[in-house]
Amino acid sequence: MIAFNSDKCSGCAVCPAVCPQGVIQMKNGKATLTDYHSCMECGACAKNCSYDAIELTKGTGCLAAIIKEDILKITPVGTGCGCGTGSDTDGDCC
Amino acid sequence: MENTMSECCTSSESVLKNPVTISFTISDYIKLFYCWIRSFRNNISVTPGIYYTGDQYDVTAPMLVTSNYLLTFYLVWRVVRRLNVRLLVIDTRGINVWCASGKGRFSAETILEHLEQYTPEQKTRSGKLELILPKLSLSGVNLKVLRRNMIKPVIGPIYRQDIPAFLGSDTLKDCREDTYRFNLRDRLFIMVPSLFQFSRYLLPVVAGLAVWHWFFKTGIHYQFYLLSLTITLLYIILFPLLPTRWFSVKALSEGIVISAVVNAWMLYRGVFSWLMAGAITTAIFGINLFFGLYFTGNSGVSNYTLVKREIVIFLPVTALVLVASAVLFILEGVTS
Repeated sequence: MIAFNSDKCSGCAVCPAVCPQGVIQMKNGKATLTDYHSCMECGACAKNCSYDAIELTKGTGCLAAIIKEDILKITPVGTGCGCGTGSDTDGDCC
Repeated sequence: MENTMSECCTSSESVLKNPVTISFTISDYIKLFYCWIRSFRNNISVTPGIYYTGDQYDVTAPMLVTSNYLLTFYLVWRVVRRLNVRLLVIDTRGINVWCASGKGRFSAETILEHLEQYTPEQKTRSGKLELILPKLSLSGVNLKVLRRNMIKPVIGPIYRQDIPAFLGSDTLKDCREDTYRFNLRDRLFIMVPSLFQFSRYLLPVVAGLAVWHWFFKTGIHYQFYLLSLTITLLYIILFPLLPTRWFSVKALSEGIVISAVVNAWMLYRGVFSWLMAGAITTAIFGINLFFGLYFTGNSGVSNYTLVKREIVIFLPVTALVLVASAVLFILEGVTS
């Protein structure tokens, strides 16, 4: 889930610049998410926000990761898709 | 790539001490094909460090940052090989830029660690190094951290094909408007690997159907595989045209059309029976749903929250439909 806090937003416009989906726009000097369904929740906006104005729940949007991380809870969040990402183990993905 | 290849995670990799030029061997091309077929699910890597194109190292050449996944490295090199550029290859343990950034391996801190391995003279003459970052790396890279360390980060293109035009401009400007499209070209690139990967789930089922046919002459075995390949192929090609943004609803829509066509064909050929029609129709919906959910990992446009919701709802449905299909196939074999 992603949420923009307009009180904290300074209007610096970094988030629309780094968004790979082009779903963030500046409206009245504040960053606004224009199309949640096209947002990949990649976190580039939150990562580059200097004012903690963007809250994001990060995860891996794929079947294997969600089964392992969220349903079976057999791997820590961020490691379920294998590929060695996020953990020190390499392995098969999906 | 002579003397630079290594299998990720089987040894501790070190960063190249000096910038090196790039060349690929036949063995590398075989590995590249394997990387493509496995579609980002292996960790064949190159040694991290600074590489360059051209005959000699040019400290004033633009420096692009990328991951040390062999396929990524090669694809970037392909588009810049005739230009005068430098590649700063980050140790992402053989993971592509997008995944490594999402998981924190492609970060500002990692970039700085790699740059520390080189002398200031090897990096820049101006005192401030300009680094071109792939836009898809920004989920892991905090630009402010780089700026604090005397680096001028530039947001580069999402697509490697756009790099030459980007570098062609007099002053490098952030690709602020560049967006990920997941267009037909992207989908075709992952189509063969997706079919290849999905086959590992399908082939055991085909083997089971062949055994069942051997006992009960159902007449269904390899056709299941062909049908499944058709389903996956159409799903990937028609992806943006299938209704709604839910992967599973797209799959159900495709299932309706394909099952209608298959049942009509069975009627036309005079081989229709309610049991067989039920078995095949549920199989079509089951395969469609399973591939739709599976494709969330291949698509690059999946939103974690939405995909999670979808999987929680549709994974049990998929399992039920596939079990129903198996039961109907068994009944068809026993009763026919």
